[in-house]
Amino acid sequence: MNDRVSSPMPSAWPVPTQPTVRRTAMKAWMEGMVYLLPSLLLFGVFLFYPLARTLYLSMFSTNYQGAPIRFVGWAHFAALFQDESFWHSVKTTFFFAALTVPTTVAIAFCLALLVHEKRKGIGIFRTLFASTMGMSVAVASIIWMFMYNPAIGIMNRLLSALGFPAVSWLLDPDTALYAVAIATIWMNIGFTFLLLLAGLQNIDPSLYESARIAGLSYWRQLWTVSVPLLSPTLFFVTTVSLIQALQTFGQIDFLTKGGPVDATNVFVYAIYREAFVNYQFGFASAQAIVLFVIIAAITFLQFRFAERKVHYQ
Amino acid sequence: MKTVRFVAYYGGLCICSALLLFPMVYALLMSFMDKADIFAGRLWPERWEWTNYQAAFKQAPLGSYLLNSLFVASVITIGRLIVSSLAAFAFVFLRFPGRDAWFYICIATMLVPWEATVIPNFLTVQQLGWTNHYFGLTIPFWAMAFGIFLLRQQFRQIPYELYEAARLSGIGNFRFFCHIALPLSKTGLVTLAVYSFLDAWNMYLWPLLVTSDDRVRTVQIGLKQLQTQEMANSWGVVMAAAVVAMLPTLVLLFVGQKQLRKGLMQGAIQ
Amino acid sequence: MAFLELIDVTKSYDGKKQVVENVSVAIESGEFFVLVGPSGCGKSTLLRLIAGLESLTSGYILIDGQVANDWPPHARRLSMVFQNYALYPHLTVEQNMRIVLQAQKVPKEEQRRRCLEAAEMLGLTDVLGRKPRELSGGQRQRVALGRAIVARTPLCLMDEPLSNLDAKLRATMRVELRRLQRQLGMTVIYVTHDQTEAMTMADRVMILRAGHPQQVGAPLDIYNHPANTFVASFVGTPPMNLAEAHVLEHSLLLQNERPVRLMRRPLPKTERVTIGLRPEHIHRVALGDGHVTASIVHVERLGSETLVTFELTKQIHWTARWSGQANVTVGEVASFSFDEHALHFFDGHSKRIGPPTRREEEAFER
Repeated sequence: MNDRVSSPMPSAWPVPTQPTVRRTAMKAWMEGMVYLLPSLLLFGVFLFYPLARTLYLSMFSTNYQGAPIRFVGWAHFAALFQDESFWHSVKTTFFFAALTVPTTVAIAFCLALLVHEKRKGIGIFRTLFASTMGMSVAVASIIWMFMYNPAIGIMNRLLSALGFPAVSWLLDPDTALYAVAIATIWMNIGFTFLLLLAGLQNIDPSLYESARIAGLSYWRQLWTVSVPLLSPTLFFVTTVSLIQALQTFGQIDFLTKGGPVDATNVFVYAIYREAFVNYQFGFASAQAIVLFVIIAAITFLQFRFAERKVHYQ
Repeated sequence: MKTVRFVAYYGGLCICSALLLFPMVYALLMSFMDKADIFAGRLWPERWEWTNYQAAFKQAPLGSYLLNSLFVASVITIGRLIVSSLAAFAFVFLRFPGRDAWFYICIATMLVPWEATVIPNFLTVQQLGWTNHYFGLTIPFWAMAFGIFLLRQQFRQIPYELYEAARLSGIGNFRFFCHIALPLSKTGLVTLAVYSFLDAWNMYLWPLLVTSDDRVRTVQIGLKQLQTQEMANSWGVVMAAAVVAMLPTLVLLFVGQKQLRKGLMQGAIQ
Repeated sequence: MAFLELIDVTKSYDGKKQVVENVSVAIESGEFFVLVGPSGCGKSTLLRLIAGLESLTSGYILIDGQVANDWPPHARRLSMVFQNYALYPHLTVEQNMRIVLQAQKVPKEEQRRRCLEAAEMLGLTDVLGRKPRELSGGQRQRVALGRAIVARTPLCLMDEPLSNLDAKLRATMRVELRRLQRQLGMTVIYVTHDQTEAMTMADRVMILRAGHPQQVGAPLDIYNHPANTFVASFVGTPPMNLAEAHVLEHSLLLQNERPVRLMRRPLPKTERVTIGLRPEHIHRVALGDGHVTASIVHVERLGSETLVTFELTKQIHWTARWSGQANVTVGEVASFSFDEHALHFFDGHSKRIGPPTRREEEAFER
């Protein structure tokens, strides 16, 4: 076949031995690890260690400095699952998520649809719609706190102008969670909007063009092009918002402190109170582990689901 | 017909914007009102006053809160860019045993909510003597799976041939990282920077836990202080402080919105 | 001594399937060596093995007589031109060329001098300050070449460097590349899937198929003496006409239905063969004369020559190439003859059967 007959191997040639191969691999490994080291070190110290430590603490009674004193095994968890206020906070949290997540995504989606086509001056509206993303929890809470003020806030003035009776908003156990939810929806619209807009713009414009040529109406285009192709983004945005909602803390701390009568005592706030107000670090850790399990499960499902079901372009 | 549509469309946009922006504008207007205006529940100030702003900076150390926030947010942003880009670089360009396993470990950190680790973290930082210290406020936030993921997506857009060409001509890994990979990844870096800065500026629970001293407190915690102390009588001052606190992030957002949108597209949604 | 030598080079990614198997070849200094084959034949992998971008599964790569298997890419003193050029998009043309020299710690003055020289050679002087995206495809291609030139490495690897150019530019670049290579005395190993490029540019060609070298040699040797049917049909456009045949005493039976009587040449001893005939060896003769009579099914007129396809059997269509503008029409029945000494024979394993020995020839003529 070859015009050159391959000559038999002269024995004098140095045969590449295993050690050199291993040494190159070792060198590559070392170099790779140098780049990864900062991340791994930080994750180790501030994420994996504390997670393990949380689990550890959840099986101990602790003193007010957080040092474990007495091993109690799963007793904290047992107590937790029999504790009515724990179940109440779980229920409150999921109800809060149910109030905020679909509403936020729906509003943000509408806004994104409104400005997704390129038109004159559209950039300004895009920026304005995204602007609540720049609101911190503290700022948003302060503004809404005043708006909810029963005596001088705008909300009640609006109600009375429309002929409705005054509402005590944050001070009434029946309305407090809704009030916090409205403020939260407002706060989260910006980021959700931005992600959905990005998703819409990632859709190949030629798909719209061919839909137009086929004579599809705006609504048909919406259902046959936008929604299916946006499904990965919608899914991503929904789970991220859900996870975020389950971790709600700042608004509660500002607006209601979990009250009135625990009406807004969401999960993370309950943990915070248990740990840093009551100094029950062990018991609080048990709750934190429950939170971890819930969120890990949702995130994991998201990964799995996103891999399979949701189609990318 | 065309003009009707035009008016309806832009009118609709304006109404949406007005509704959405109302709380911000409301806060801005209030920050210029005196007490009488506020208690009368007015929407428009009778007389425009700067006194609330003066009070906010004089009565409370708002200036130093702002500087602290600026410093903390910048340090977190820069630290995150460095740490994430190094890891992302290794995941995209380097070939070494165990690389994929490490990547899954990094991805797995997304499963852990920050709140689940906050108790031991607080105890760790306390033991390190980092409470009331910038270290405690910044270093724990440098490593971030999302950042690594986003930059990894960005680096993957660089043709691998560029890396091979560099290897052939003896350009070392770090040199390639600094002179080629980073300059070619501006979108991703800017996105991560804007996102991180917003995130860090708005951080609340952690600084609440680890600072008790005005010298290192961030503006968000400052607002909380102000709110609890001044609330009853001077809403105007609190609003002025709130307006000052939201200004930097709003400006950043106005400037970086487009970039952020493009970058998030690449990183988060692929 | 050979400049670069491959000995039983084998590469497998999964330990089972070999992408490149037992390739042995020695490449001389100053040679323009082309690796050619259809896509997926392992030619690019072979190039990357030489570059050190992939590691060998077994075998040896010798550079200047030393085993270089474990040398990192930059220690091999070679440059590479990639199919997509691999230009750094954020650097200017000059910076793109200089970054190579910076890595080699060449003094600044020298860097500048070499860049200008290379730019002069390639006609890039006016665009030195531009970024790759501001250049035309041809200019980008030149910058990639320039990067190889300034490095002054003795060996340059090229991976389909012309495939992103349009046909006209490709033709001029073929000539120019060859000129540059001679002028600089570079050794080039050139990968392409285009047999025309291989034929027109190479000093020597290696034809690869599914990781196996099929034949190595000068282009015309390969054209005239293809080692097997794959090479025969791969080299040359239009490709060599092939047909399976039974060998009878003085004639061939094509596809069990069409006998062809040979007059001037002894036939091989093998019973079943594949015969091959290049289109230029088929001529038209008066109807009823010649070796075969067949109907014409397709005519391509290229101006300077005409390609005529005729139906030998239902399955076998052969093409003849005649110079000039032949006066034929589709559907016409014509007679063809061919130069019997131009016939190629391949055995049941599609391997070439050597020409008849003198003894056989003499015996035939008697």
